[in-house]
Amino acid sequence: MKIYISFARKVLSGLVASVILFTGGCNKKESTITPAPPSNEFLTTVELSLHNTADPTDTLLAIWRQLDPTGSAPPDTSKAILNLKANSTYSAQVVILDETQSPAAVVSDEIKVRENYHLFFFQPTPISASNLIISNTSTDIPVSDGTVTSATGPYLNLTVSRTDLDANSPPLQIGLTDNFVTGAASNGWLRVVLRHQPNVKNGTYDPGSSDLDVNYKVNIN
Amino acid sequence: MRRIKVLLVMLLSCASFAGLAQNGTAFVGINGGISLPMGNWSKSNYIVNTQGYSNDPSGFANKAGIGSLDGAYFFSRYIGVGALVSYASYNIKNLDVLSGGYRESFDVDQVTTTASSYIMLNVLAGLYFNFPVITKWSVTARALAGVTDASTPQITVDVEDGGVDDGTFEQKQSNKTAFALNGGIGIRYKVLKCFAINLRGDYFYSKPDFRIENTERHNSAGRLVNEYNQPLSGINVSFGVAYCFGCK
Repeated sequence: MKIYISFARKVLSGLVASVILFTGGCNKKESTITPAPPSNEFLTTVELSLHNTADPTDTLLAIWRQLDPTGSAPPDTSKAILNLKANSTYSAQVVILDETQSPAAVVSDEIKVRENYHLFFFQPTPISASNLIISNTSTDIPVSDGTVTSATGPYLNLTVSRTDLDANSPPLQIGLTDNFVTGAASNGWLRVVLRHQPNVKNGTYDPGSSDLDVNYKVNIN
Repeated sequence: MRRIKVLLVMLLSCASFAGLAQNGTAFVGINGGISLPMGNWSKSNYIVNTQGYSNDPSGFANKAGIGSLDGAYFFSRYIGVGALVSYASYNIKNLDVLSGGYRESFDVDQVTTTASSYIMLNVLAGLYFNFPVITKWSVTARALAGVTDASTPQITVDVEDGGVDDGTFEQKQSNKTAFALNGGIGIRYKVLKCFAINLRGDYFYSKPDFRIENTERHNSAGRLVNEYNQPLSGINVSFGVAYCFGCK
């Protein structure tokens, strides 16, 4: 009889302990860190393809190229030049390639798929402080990220506006397609930045980080 | 105080007494075991959506420990009425799959995902059955209905890319009370005059329609669950002890 009672006590103790352990001990938060796998895609080439909306013969292709993925070699900017007509409107398309692959991978197609958290910015310089507009629809880049305003000029008479919208609600601009509007003859630079803004895209420049940051020489004649 | 604790443990610690049951007898029992979720609730699909939200039915529910108290009164040799209270906490399984889906959906360098558990508290009542087989051995069964008070896990996702912390979004915990069913069979062995041990398997089912609040979701991408209306069902396998009152 004593053996049975002892056995029963052990079983009971074990049960109570196991119930507490099973139900209470397992009720805790778990956490995991998921890093990205090593990237096999590079943004080696940025093409700006422009078409004059009033003159079908006036088409341009400006190419910024950096085939060294490590970035140690200087980029090839020999074709990163836009020769635009004054007082004209151009429809523009941004094409990004990975030319380390054969055939070259069209990275901009991937950006289009991920449009809900990517946003292009276009900063003509020189620009006056009064013309530098920072808003959730402007393509300008804030002074805090490198834009230098000029008090005296001469200024580059170029205005860029985005023409495409993403699938967010409400929709936000993307910048893969754009309008370039030129004014009087002038010269300067156009800085193109692609911002990657995962779950923080709101139309402004600040959230996120930059996927690319390139410059083109601009001549308006 | 110690005596009270011992008494409480004794009262609470019994299992399916069915084998002990006789006309006019009653029992209380305590059971512990494992709960195995089934269906979509237990699935852990890898969800990637870069162009919109995905309300995937995968519940990511892992197997859980379950504890229960039950008791019944047998008004005949074979049939009684009783009640069951059970508690289970289901951790999230394959959290790396959930986290990887968010990482790829936002195409970022790193995602840190933290999740709490599904919690289920069931209060059920119904019929208990007892079928003696051979000396000291019985087959037991029960069919119960009642309510479950269930809650979904809180899931927190922190996004980091390009050396920048892009913030944290949350799927909030949601609580719902719903109709629940439980039924199963077991075997019991009478170890002492008033004690029996019990091994049983039970199917459980409920379908709470959770409405889930999400915070800080600004861009349409990745898994987003605003409503979870999937059956919470599965199999409980438990072992327990029962104490019988009025046994002969």
